[in-house]
Amino acid sequence: MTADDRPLVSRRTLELATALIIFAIGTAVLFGALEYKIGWDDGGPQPGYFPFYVGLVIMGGALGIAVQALVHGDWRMTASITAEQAKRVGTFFVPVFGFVALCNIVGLYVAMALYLLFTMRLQGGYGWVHSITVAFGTAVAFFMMFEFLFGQPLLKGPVEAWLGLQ
Amino acid sequence: MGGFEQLIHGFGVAVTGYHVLLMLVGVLLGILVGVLPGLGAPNGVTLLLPLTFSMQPVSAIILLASMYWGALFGGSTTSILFNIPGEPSSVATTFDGYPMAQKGRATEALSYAFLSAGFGALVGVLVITMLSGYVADFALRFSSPEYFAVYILAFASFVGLSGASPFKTIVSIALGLAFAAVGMDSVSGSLRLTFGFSELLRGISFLVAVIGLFGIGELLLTMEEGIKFEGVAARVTLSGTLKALMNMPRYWIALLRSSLIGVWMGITPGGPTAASFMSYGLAKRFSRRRAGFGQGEPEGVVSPETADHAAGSSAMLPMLTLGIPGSATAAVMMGGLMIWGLTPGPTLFTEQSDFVWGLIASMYICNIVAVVLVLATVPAFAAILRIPFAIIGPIIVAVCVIGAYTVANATFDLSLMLLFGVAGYVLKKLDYPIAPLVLAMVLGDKTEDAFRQSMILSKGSLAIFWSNPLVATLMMLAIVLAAWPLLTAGRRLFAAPSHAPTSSAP
Repeated sequence: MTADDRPLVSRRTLELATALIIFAIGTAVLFGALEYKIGWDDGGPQPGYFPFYVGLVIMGGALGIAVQALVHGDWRMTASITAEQAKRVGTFFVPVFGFVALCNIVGLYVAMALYLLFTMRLQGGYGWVHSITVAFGTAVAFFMMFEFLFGQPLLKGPVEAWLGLQ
Repeated sequence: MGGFEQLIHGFGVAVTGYHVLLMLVGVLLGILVGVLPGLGAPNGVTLLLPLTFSMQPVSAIILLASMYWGALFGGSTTSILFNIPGEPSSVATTFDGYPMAQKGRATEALSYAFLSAGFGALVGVLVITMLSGYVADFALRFSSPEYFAVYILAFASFVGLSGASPFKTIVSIALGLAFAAVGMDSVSGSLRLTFGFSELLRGISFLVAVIGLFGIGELLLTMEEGIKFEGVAARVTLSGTLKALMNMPRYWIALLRSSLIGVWMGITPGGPTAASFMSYGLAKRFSRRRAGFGQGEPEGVVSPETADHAAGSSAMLPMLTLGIPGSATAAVMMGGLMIWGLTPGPTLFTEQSDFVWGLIASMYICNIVAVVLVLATVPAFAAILRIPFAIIGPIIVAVCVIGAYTVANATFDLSLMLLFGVAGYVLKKLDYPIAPLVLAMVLGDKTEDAFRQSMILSKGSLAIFWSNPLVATLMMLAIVLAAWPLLTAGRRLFAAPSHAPTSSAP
């Protein structure tokens, strides 16, 4: 077993953590429903009625999952994510996160081009020429498709304004 | 004789130059999303849906349905050539399809897969043609209590038949219902579960959820596995295809059995994935050629493929006639129907017969077109997979981001998509079923409305769900299905008290 194969999180830990989050969501739904009346009036169930019970079911289900995870002996030792896998998922997800954050500032097309450039140049190991061509080529292709062909304009930012493309 | 008269009328609607063009585009896009990892049928249809808002409903549904068929075909291509299923429903095709390809019989394997898939799909469409009229007529008698019972039955059958931990299925359904309840309540106008976020006022779109859960979630899983495409050379020769075609009749038992399994699993919300596994399993147990299974036996390709496509197409039957989708993709299409202003359910057949029969007719044409197209384009699509994932992966991400944005032109949806993406990744790792969540999000409001209307009818008495034989039977079935895991667990406990069951999921 190399260092990278070592389990980072066991199956049981991940099961319990997920059940906890689901339980919290259930609680939130329950309290959200309590903002409205959860009983009955002349028009049948009041607005909070349905979400209230859905919240209860979520909480109950999460408890059931947690108990199953605790009873399940094998899962304590089974790896759910190894360090190597976590690294791979992380290096993929962090740029995606950056992409979405950038969309709010520079618009969708520019953010897309920068994201593709970043992943190709720094993660894919392609040369500058190759990376720039693919990144900006893709963004321009999507721009043409959505602005002209489909007539469904996407989010634009300062760069498009500067180029007079708004 | 079933709906054959209306079908002729439907062909009149479907066979126009514009619609045939849409079918070609749809099938090609479908094969593309089916081939690419991280993009599947539910996600592909979701991404295309916002572009159809301005189209005629019948043209829009033909485009989306064609994409669905194409995606089902595309998924099998990668299973056979690369041992990587492009779709969950084509996992079972890898068992014998890839060994066949390794032995240099790739052309045959692909031909068997596509021809039997086409056969299964046609059986599914035939069943729709013959039964949909009757089912719709029957469903016209339904009122709110019956509808509520049917929705509960659909949810219960997920709990009873899915094979995952029943708690996980229940949580998945309940989460979907909770997400559906977010935003403006259609009856009272109250703003529910928004927790002060003004972005949540319009609710959580199931389209954004699907793009996150199926798109980003699937990509994260793909990355975790460290994907490598080391495939078998793809070249389809006419002689290989003809050889497979000549041999098809030999597998008539497998074709028939698999079609039946597929149709059944498609109509009940078992879905194509369960159908293909079940069909492969039964073939392996009962086939005369079972010794060769797993080492490249054509029947091991024919069986899952037939069932997969029979289920995919027959999933449209409950969607059109009852408003209950039989698969995640059908759920997305049903959401589309509602966005286009149509009401899925029996009234479609009386009020929108052009739409319904145009769609059904297009399914016949499209599946034949798809078999030919997919055979002709295999080399081209296999070449796409040789583009390194370092380029393809981020481009798929970009497509998902655009898709999530076009749903409502809101950047908030992009963050939601990321959240659903991480959730989808974790939930799939832990074997939570995702399809019930999507189904519950689409059906959530309708379920609640049906419940409230029943309660108004009955002045608050739950006895209305037992008030006539029809609704009582539906409710009884639902209870039995929901209790199924309990019953089997109990039986196992009594049958073998010495060692406790250690695993509930296969």
